[in-house]
Amino acid sequence: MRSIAVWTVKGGVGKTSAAVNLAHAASADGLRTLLWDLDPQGAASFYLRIPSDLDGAVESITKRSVELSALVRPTEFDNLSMLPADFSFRHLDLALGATKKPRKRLASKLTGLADRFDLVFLDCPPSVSLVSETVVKTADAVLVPVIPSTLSMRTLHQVRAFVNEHGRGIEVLPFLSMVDRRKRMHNELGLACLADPAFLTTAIPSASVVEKMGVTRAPVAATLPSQPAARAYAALWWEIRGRIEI
Amino acid sequence: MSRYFLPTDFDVAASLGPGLELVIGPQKSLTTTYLDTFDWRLWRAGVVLVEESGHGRRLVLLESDREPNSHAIEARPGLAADLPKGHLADRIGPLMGIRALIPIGAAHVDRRDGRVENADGDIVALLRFDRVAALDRQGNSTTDPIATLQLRGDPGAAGFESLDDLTALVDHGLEMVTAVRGRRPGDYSSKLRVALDPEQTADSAVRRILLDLAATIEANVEGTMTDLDSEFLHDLRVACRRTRSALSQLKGVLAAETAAPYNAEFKWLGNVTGPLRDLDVYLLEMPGYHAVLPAAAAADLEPLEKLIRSTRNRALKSVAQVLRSTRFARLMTSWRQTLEATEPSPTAIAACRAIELADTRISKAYRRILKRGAGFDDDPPAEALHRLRIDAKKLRYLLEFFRSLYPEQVITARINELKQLQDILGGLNDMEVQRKRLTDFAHELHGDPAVPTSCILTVGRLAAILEERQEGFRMAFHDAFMEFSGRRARAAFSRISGGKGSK
Repeated sequence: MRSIAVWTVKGGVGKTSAAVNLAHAASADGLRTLLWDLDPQGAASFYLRIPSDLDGAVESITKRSVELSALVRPTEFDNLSMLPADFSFRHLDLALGATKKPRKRLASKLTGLADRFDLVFLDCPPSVSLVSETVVKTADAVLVPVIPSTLSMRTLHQVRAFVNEHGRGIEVLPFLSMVDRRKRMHNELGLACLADPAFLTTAIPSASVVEKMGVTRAPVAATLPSQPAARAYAALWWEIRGRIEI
Repeated sequence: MSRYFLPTDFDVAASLGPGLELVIGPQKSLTTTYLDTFDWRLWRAGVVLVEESGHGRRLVLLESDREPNSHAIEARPGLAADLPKGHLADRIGPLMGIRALIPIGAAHVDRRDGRVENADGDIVALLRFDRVAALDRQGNSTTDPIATLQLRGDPGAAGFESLDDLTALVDHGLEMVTAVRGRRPGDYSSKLRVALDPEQTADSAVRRILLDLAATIEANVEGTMTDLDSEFLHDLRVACRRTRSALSQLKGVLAAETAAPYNAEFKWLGNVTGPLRDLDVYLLEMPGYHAVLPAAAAADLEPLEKLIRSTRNRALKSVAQVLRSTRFARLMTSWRQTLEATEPSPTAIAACRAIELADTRISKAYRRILKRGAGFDDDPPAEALHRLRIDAKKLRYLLEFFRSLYPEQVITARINELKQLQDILGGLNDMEVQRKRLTDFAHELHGDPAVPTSCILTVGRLAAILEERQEGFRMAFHDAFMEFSGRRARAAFSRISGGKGSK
């Protein structure tokens, strides 16, 4: 089983949309995929219509004796399951901090899911916290959405510095997100980003169909598969699949 | 995931808890084709594999306590190598081994997916309503369709207490779709499983065994002719060999004049199907040949593989001709008539108890092996080992014919001990036969100016590797035979053959 964290420290850059749409693309590709919503806002859970009110959600992560798999929920989509968020995740930092070896605990929780899933996407809260640090130490790769803007690119530097400090050679996979081709700065900075070989070459466009996921409550490809945004997520998934060799 | 029969008067929406709503999607029509190997390897492992075709084509892997795993496909996979990469291939491939997937049942399904939503529009449970009509071999629906309800999620949370009154379905519809084709899960196994009674007459026991073997031969004819996988022919030939072994090992039960012509005819069947089996073995061995050679030599084996495949195509045509022939049809018809004849065989042995016959013949076969092995020096000649291999096979067949007459644990232990010796003797023989045949192929390839010298050299190298392996088996033989003929084994055989084994 491989695990991909979707993380950045800046909000509103298309992180959760990417996590949901990429998890859907991976599942459509035949992989038994789990989307784990670690963000207390529960946006990924909302998009997939999974109630985010779990009893014992924090304990299922921090306590060895509580089975995490019992909280896994099926979604409407083939091969795609979800571990929904819970508002109590806002205290997850404190609870993880109280465990002796948070990374080891999370790793063992993931191992417990290995016979049921081929791939886990972890939608992380957009902050520098013990949760993100633990996830970065545990996952196989970190996917970082980057809007072609000065601030967002500055954030990528921060993410890379954080991963270098805490990760163990974990692969950072930045990709261009919410790209508006009508904006000159997006085009110029986008090109500059793609000169960096670490960047995935597929850019996710800024699209109203992605924004409408809050209304349709489904991945873009499930409702409007021929839209450019849906095709872009599918292409991005293929690129990621090649990079992490799954 | 739970599945239930859904009675026509059951109102799902009305049985939901308060504040919940049923949202149903559009109806889709699809054909579901259930796939398994001819000998039910997936079903035996608790796995159901369904191909769904309608809007696109996909394979769906169903296992209890697991979410279904589905994979889009362009064509139906035959052998394990055709499976889409990933979990499906990892799970199914090893179960299939060298066997092909074949359709074992099909149904027309009208499907509607739905979800139970709470007031926030969140999913409380996922529902699937299927109206399933099993299809016969011609693709016609001949029985009344059934309605099923599949539920994923927590029935309690959806307020579905009333589901407890519904009849649960446990097999994903497999029994229903196979029944209309006259089959049932697990109805074929290459293993001989005849339930005999120790007190029944030897005559009736032997007829039961031979009828079971005749059924195995017949069951494998179609698959051999259509060349679905190499195991059809293999099973057919093993049943044929077991039949001949039974005729000779259980001599005297059927009258000699009755048995003799059939023995000759089954010998003919074995002979005419032998060359195709030999060529199958080479093709099955090919990955093994590649594994022992350096990667650079892989291309050198291409002309050999090509030669084997073209020779095999001719051999397959000739086997298909045999299986379509009047001679084969007559053999099987008259053999069945002979075995099903109501008047008992007139011989004295035929009237004895089945257990007596089994005890005597197993003991005799075991003693024959001990006697032959006792005469061996440190380096027995290949011919003597070949005869010992055949003796061991005869004993193995007898143990399998009569296994139901003995405690299962005891007979399985003896078969396993014998198998260890057989593996070594079989390995010795296989290496010898393959080495000789490779030399023949090398001669044939040598005559073809298009074949590069490197190919001939690689085949020679392969023959040398096989000779080394043969030597390895030869070294292992002595210890294996000592074990099989030792005091402990003699005592164990004595216990299953009425005290006759250790003498």
